[in-house]
Amino acid sequence: MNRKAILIESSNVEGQTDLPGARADIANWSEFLRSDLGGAWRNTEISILSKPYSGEVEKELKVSSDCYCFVAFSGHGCEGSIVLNSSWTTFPISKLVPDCERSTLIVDSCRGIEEAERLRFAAPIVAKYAELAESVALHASRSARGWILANGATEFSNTSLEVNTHYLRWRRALLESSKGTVRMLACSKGQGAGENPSAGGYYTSLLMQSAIDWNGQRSAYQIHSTKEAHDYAARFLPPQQTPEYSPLSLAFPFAVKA
Amino acid sequence: MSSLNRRAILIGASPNANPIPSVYSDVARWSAFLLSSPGGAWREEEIVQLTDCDRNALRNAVSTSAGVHYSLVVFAGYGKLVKGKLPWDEAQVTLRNGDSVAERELNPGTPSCTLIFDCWASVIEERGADSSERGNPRDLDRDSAKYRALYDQSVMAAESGLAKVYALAQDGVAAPNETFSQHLLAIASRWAADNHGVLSLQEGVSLAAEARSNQRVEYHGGRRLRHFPLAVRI
Repeated sequence: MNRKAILIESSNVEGQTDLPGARADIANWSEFLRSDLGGAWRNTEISILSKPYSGEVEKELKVSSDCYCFVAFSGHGCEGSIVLNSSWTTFPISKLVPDCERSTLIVDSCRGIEEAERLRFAAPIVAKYAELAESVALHASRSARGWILANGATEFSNTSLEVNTHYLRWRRALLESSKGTVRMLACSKGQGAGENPSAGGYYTSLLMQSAIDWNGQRSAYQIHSTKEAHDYAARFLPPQQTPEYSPLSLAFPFAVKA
Repeated sequence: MSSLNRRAILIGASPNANPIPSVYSDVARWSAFLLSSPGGAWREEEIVQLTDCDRNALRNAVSTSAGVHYSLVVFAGYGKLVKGKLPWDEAQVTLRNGDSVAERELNPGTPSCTLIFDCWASVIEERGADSSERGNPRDLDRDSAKYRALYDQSVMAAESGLAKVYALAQDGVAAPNETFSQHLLAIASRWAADNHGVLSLQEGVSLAAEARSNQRVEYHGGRRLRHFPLAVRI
């Protein structure tokens, strides 16, 4: 069984507010996935894309049908689309779904109404102040270091995958799961997705914290699922942000204990 | 177009143990600004002022926001960012009786919400209001309904959700000679005198932060493409 993680951040798109939290998300995902807790992914299994062209995304998404694909996007977006780069500001979310039997898609971006609809309400922005839109993240941390390993929650594995208990357990859970694509969206239609410059997206960082919390608890279960991680995040998000998970009947391993 | 339901909760807390006189004028200034046309022509019944309240009064005020679409909560007093259970820091403020209140308790949970924390760790002297901070009295402005509509449209055009502003003391740095609220509202009023359109909260805070080297000012608007308004001008 192959697996592939595609981590996309479009944090610093020309003409859009800079999002240091989106960069933090990708650093955190990378640390989390490579840890035993996250399933001991290898560097060769992880692709990181920054403001990619659509062709790069499509190329990465071409995987064999038996591959498990984990796709995470952090950046700006509208309902049904994301801002990939300054040219592709309405890249359809549906195009982020890989053509394989099992995949997880996590989109941590806003879901505001579309541009054309929004313009009906838009008030004129005074040109004198328009340039300020590019400098919103005041005194924001630009640290690329995530807090996953800093919290001492888990360690990177040095053992080969063939004998890594975490990986073997993660793999078995995946193969026992149903086929399909899990879609996890950070907020509901019309809502904004919050982020902290250092911790990352509220939703994304809570997903990973759910694994850390779960790892610290005594539990007979050795697998923490995508649905359980989502439910944890939904509990702790501000009331103005209500994430969505679909289909409710499908879940893949998110974190694993030895 | 139907009018947007709004609620502003303006909180000033001056602890008995270490009073901050400036919080009272901060609350008064925010109220005057919101009532003015550039502030969005809020109605008096939409604004709740709480000075030196206890936790129960605070909770009651926050609970009055049920059914409201957009709420603006301003806290002036002592406060700091603390690391709790969440991956990110949240504000913790101090009431008059010394009780600590978490940021979440101040969040009314309305679909759209702005929380502004104007917090300092030591006393800031009270100073007289600059006439430019008061905005244009609404009763002198025949266009206040248009200002209100523009403000509503700006809120509706933005993604719903939570936006936060933190203006916090920095360790070892002397207190400024004016509060962040005073500074921000002065900038908003001056902007409205010279410009037309909408000054977003993001832009207003960015302008205000430029001159606040002695205070940590952060705007946490999330990943939204459109931001809530601070001031409007027809």
